[in-house]
Amino acid sequence: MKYVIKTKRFTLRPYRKSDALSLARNINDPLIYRYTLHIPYPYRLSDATKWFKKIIPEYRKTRPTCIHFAIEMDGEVAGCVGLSNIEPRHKTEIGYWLARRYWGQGIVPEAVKLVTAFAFKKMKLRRVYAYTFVPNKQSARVLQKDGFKREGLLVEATKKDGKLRDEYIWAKVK
Amino acid sequence: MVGCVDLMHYVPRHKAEIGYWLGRRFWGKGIMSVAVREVATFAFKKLKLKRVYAYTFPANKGSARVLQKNGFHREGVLRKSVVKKGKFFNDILWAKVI
Repeated sequence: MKYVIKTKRFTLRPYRKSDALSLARNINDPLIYRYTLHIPYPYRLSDATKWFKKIIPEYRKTRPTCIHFAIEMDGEVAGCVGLSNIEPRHKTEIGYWLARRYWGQGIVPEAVKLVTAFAFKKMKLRRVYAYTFVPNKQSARVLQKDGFKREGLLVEATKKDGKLRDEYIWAKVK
Repeated sequence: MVGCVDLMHYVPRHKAEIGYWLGRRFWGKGIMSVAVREVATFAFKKLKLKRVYAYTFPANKGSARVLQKNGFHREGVLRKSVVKKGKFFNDILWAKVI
């Protein structure tokens, strides 16, 4: 499958090994770390290469477990919309981050909309779901804009910095 | 052996999913309510978990009743979250947190 989606403002495409430097630079931010679960801070070049070893081989598989779309802008990886825990013809989790200097321009809502549509139309999935931390209003807004519905509040379902946190689960179904 | 209560997706000192079944001729005697109570207590007290959660099919009122009796709260309905024999079903998520 071809994992490239072009728009006026950015391109969604698979990560390449050569993205390590721009990825490490743009994701290394405490405000990105704050509301995500698997992004370290500080983020080192070695975190990027380790990550690529895990996710790049998936693009070639007929039944990938995850597909991560890099958001390319100005020749750099400015963010990502990722599909993970993919269960073929059924469901996937969606997650995303964007470099702080691009916030507030509607980039993530546009990217999430495109990737969600891709999951339903091209990958023939029936459910796309996401988790957000309760205080993360911006992320909730992204999902609401694309028609995701809040399905529940999971009490102390996740751990961040050694503390248990509640999280919302959101989903869009077809 | 007439049934089973399992803890799955165990995350030490944090959480686990609970699931169970019981042979039909033992239904209606409150056996599962007691078994789930004991295993949940074991999870909280011995394993030091904070959260025990479960999923039920919407049609499975008996299973929901077992959880309600044990103080589990319904956290949400996950639409089309399970596939069984090629059909999509909603999944009700329950949890008990201490």
